[in-house]
Amino acid sequence: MLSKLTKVQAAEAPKQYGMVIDLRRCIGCHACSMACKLENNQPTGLVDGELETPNRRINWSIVLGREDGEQEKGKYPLLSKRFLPRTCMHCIDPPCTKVCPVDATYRRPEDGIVVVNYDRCIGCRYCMSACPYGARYFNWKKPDLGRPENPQVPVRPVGVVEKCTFCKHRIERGLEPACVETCLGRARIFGELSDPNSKVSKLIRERGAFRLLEDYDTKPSWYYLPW
Amino acid sequence: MTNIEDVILNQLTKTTKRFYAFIGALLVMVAWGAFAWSIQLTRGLAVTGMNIPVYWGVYISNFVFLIGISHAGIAISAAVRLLRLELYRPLTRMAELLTIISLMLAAMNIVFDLGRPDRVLNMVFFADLSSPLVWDFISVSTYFILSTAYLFLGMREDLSRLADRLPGRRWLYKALSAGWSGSEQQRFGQERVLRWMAIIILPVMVSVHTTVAWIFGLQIAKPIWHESGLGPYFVTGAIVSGISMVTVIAWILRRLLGWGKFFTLEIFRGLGNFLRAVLLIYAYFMIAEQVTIRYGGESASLEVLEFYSTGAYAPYFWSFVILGTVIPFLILCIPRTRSIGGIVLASILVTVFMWVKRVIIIIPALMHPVLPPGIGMSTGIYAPTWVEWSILGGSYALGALLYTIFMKFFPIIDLEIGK
Repeated sequence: MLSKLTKVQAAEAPKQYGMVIDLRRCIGCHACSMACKLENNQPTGLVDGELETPNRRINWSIVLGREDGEQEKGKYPLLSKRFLPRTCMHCIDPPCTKVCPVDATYRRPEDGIVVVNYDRCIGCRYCMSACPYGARYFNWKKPDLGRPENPQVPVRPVGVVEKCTFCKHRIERGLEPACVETCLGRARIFGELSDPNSKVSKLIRERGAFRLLEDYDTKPSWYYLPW
Repeated sequence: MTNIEDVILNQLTKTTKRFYAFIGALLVMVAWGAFAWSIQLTRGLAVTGMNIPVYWGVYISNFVFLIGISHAGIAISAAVRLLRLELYRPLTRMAELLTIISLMLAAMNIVFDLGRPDRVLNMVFFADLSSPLVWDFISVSTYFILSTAYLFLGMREDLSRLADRLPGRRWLYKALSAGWSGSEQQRFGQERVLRWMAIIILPVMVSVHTTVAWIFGLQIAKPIWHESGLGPYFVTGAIVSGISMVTVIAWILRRLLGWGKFFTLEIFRGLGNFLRAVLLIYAYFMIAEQVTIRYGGESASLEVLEFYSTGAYAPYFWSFVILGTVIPFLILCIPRTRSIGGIVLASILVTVFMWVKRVIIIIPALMHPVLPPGIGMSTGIYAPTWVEWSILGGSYALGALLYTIFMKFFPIIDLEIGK
């Protein structure tokens, strides 16, 4: 408990899952986000118009960027567009778990996945404020899926925080996360960072991978292969 | 001698129509706030203006403000006891009560902010010491318990005197006075306990607002908060708003009860002088913040600083600077305006604009996350809804109600003053 106060806790888990995104392969189609919403029982945000603003939607998986052309490079016809998909980074030293007053969010010691205990969360949103990546989402109202739910994933009650679970229910059955399976450009590669011979570990070594906001020293287990 | 005591006791026994009207008005406000809260409870926090990334709104700003208000009460009382500032003795009990009630309201504001207020006790059952929120919870609870005990112990003698004076309520006062006999030995023991409590309360008080600051300041991803100076900055702000609030309440009591002989010009002058000094320290902190961030030019902090000092929040910021610091400071400096009216006006300005300053500290930082939001989402929109305003109004009305009811049952001034 107190060990979380210091950076010392960033001990290696016996197994550490991680994700590599090949940014050159990402076409910004948002299929990952849609697959994530369907797999993990997130409202699509278009069902209940009342009380719904774009800034209250739940998007565990999202493609970052502004619509002001900042992500574009070059001039027509030599124009390229860049996208930056992000979900929870499943940091090895997560700033969100430290601040939780009730230990409702924590990094699983067995595989390094950062999870939320929906039955304990008091909805103070401290973890959301502490996360540099904006990866956490709050149930501002009672979720209304407007479609049959996936029985393998609990539907979260109103008033609690939720986020990407690396599709732990799928990993446990030997499947890849939904976003990886669905990615059209095969830009997402999921695997074990703890295994130096895994595909993800090799890609990180060989392709000069970077992580988001490394200055904060959160040690994300999400890596990006540069454009 | 008994005259003054009678004046104080009159307040307990004589109840005017105006009093009932006031209580009625407060009850209506409380009911309205409760209605608004029931809407929030049934429909979720979606009825507030909060969103992504403004995860915290006026509830948390108001929490910080109220914790600040709680700072003056016990501090004044402890200082009076430790430094033997007999002049300020009439302020002690009313200030202690202000501390206790503002702490209650602060705790309520946290509950309003929770997505799951039904699970608030998880803070006790599953308290995780790695969270600054838990440090704050421990620190505020300690402060609350100490303050309440301090108020109660200091009141025992009065309670036993009231038991003799007001036979109708004898049972109540007798029970509450908890065996006060007024013997020399008891008096000595009690004074010793209170002295030690006063010594302990002062550092606890500093820890309270420091841990409040750390809720924000220990987050790495909010550069404008992530400063080592945030704790002292908050503590100074707390003392500023606390002292000014005590001044305002002393003035209300003076006007309402015609207690000019207790709350004298001298007392107001003293409070005003102190406010002037802490206001200056607060201004110094603000200048230090501006210079450090602007000179360094680190973009993430600068973005927030410019947002509130020259951007969209500039009207709030500059109204705080001018109406909340410069003008009150001048009023408190110029001999001609240092009348009770002037000092109170300065205090009202400081209290109101310190509330605004709390909002400026909390919300702009949240509006500027370090990563851009997703496509189709805008950064930094926040406007409190009627539900938030109603709940805030209702909670303040509840505070005023508790204060008023306390004053009907217990003397708001130490009866000892009458001697």
